[in-house]
Amino acid sequence: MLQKPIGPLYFQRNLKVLRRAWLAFLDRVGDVNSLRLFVLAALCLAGCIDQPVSVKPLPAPSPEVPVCNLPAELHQRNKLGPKGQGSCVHASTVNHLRWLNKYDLAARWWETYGDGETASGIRSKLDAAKADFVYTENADPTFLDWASRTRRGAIIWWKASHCCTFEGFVKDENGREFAAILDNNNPGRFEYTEREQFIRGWAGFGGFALTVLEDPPSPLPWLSYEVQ
Amino acid sequence: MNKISIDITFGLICLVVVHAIAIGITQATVETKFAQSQSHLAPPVNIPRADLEKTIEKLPQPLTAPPVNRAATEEVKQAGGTCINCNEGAFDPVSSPIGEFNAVAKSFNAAIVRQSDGSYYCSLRDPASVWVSTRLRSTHAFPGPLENAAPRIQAEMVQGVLYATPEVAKTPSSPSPSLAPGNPNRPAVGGSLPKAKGFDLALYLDGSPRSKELKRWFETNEDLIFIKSNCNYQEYTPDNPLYKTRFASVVGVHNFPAVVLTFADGGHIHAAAEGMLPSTAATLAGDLFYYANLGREAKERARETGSGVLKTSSYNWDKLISPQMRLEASESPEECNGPNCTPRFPSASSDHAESLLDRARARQKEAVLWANPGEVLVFALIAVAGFLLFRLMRS
Repeated sequence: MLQKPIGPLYFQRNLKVLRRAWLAFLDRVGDVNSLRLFVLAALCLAGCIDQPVSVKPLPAPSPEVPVCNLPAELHQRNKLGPKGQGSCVHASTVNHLRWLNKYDLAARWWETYGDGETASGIRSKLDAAKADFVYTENADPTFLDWASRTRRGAIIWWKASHCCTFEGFVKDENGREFAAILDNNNPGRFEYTEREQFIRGWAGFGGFALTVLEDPPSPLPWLSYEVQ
Repeated sequence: MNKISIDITFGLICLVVVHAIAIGITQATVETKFAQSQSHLAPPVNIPRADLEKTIEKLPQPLTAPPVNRAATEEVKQAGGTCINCNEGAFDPVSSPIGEFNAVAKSFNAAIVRQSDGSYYCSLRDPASVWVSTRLRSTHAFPGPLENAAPRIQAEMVQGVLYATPEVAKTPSSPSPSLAPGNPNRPAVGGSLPKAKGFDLALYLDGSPRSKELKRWFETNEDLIFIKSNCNYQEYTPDNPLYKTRFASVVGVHNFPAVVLTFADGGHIHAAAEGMLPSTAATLAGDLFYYANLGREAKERARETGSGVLKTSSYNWDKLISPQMRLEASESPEECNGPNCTPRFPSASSDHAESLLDRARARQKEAVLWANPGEVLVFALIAVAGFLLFRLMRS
C-alpha cells in the first residue's frame, strides 16, 4: 500500500489548520496586541532567571603517605662505587630527582657518580648539572617543613655517615608528626621517626639537607565537587 | 513588512530597557543584602586610642633548631676516606643527547662566593639560620678535575630568609652574569623560599602532532604560559616511569594528549583529553581560567557550608574530561591566609596582585553580552518564534 506523499502541499494544508487553531486560540485569549505584549514580556524575562546551581563538595581522600610517595618500583638501592665506597648520597639524589620527575637526569646521575660524597661535593655536582637547589647545614626544621609542604622532599644527612631521602612529615591519628625517610640501603619501604627525635638526630648527623628546585610531580587527582 | 520590522525593533528596544532596569534592581537588591550579611565583619570604627597603643606581649620563642654537629656536616657520607676526583666521569650535562637539563642562569644582586676551601661565603647577619641557593655556572666543559670543576662564578645568589643583606655581599669578580629565562621556583633575593603553589598542571603527551601542538601552545600562548608558570607543572609521556607507576590508572594512554588542572592537593578542576581539547590555545586558556574560578568558588562554598561530604571520592576520568559545572562568580574576592583557604595564584607582576582567578573575573567583566550560551539560545528561539508568529498572523 502506497503511503501518502509528504510534500509542500501537505505542510501548507497543515499550516492552514494550525493557523485556524491559532486564530481560534486568539479569539479566546484576546487580541493580537495582547499577544504582542505577551511575547514582549517573555523576551524581557528571558535570561533574568538564573538557574540555581548547588555544588556538593566531596570529601578529600586521606593525603598520600608519605607526602613524597615515590613508588617502590622507583626506589634506588645503594651501590658500591669504584673505590668500594657506598654511594648513599648519589642514591638519595637519584631518588629525589626521580620524585621530581627528572628521570633522565637521575638516570645519568646514577650512571656517572658513585662512592662517598660530601655536602660541598654534592652541591658542586648539582651546580655542574645546572640544577637549582636550596640547602641548609643548620638542621633548621623549617626547611624540612617547607620541603614537605611543597611536596619536594630533600636529601638529608641521616644515620651515621649516611644519607637518605626525606619524603615529608606525616601525622598519625593522634596528631603526632613523623618524618618519612627512604633509606637507600633498605628500599621498597619508608621509615618513620617521631619529629622531635628526628630533628635531634638530624642535627647530630650534620644537619644538612638539600632540595632541588623543580616542580613536584602531580598529586593523585580526586573528585573534589560535583553539581547537585 | 515594515510594520513587522517596526514592531520587532520597538520590542527589542523595550527589551533592552526593561532588561537593564531589571538587572539594576536585582543587583542593587543583592548587593544590599550581601552588605547587610557581611556587616558584622566590618572593622569597628571607633577604637579607643588606649587599645591602639597597647603593645602585644611576646610569648617565649621555642627552640627551633638543636645544636648541629658541625663535624659531621662536611664528612664524607658512606665512605671512610676523602673523596678525591669525585667529579671524574663521563657526565656531560651539556652535550649529552639524552633529555634536557634545566639550564637556568640569572643575575642577582646579593652574592655568595665559593671560597678556596670549597665552602660558601655568605654575607648574612645570622648565618646560623640561612638557606642558600646557589647556581654556579662552570665556564669549562664538565667533567674535569676537582680544582677545575670548581666553577668560575658567573652568577651567584644568596637566599637568606629575612637576613639577606645585599649591600655587604661580595660580588664575584668574574664576568657579568648572563641573563636567561629564570626558573620560576628560584626564590627572589631578599624574599623567602618559594611558596607552595596552589595548583598543579599536568600535560600527558605522546608523539602525536596534536601533542606537539598542545605543548607548543604552552610555550607560545601568553595566558597558557602564565598558567604554566603559576602551577606545579609536569609533562608525562607513556614511557615515563612516574607516569607508569602513578598515573597510568588515572589517565590512560588512549586519552593522550590530555591536560589536567588540579589543586595542589589533587582536587580536580579541569581535564581535557584528546577529543575534548579545544581547537585553539586561547580557548584552552579560557577554559582553564574559567574552571579555576569555578573550582575556587566551589572550595569557598564548601568552606562556608562546612564539609558537606556526602559520598566517598572517586576519580572517573571519562566523566571528568568534560565537566559541566556552572556556578555564579563572586565579585568580592576575599583575602585569606588560613589553612583552609583556597589557593590563589601569585602575582604575575610586581605592581599589583593579578591572579589567574582575577583574570578569569576580568574576562567576565569584559563580556560584550551578559548572557550565557543557553540564554542566548533562548533569545534566538523567542525572536524566531515571534517573527514566525507575526508572519503567520499577517498571512
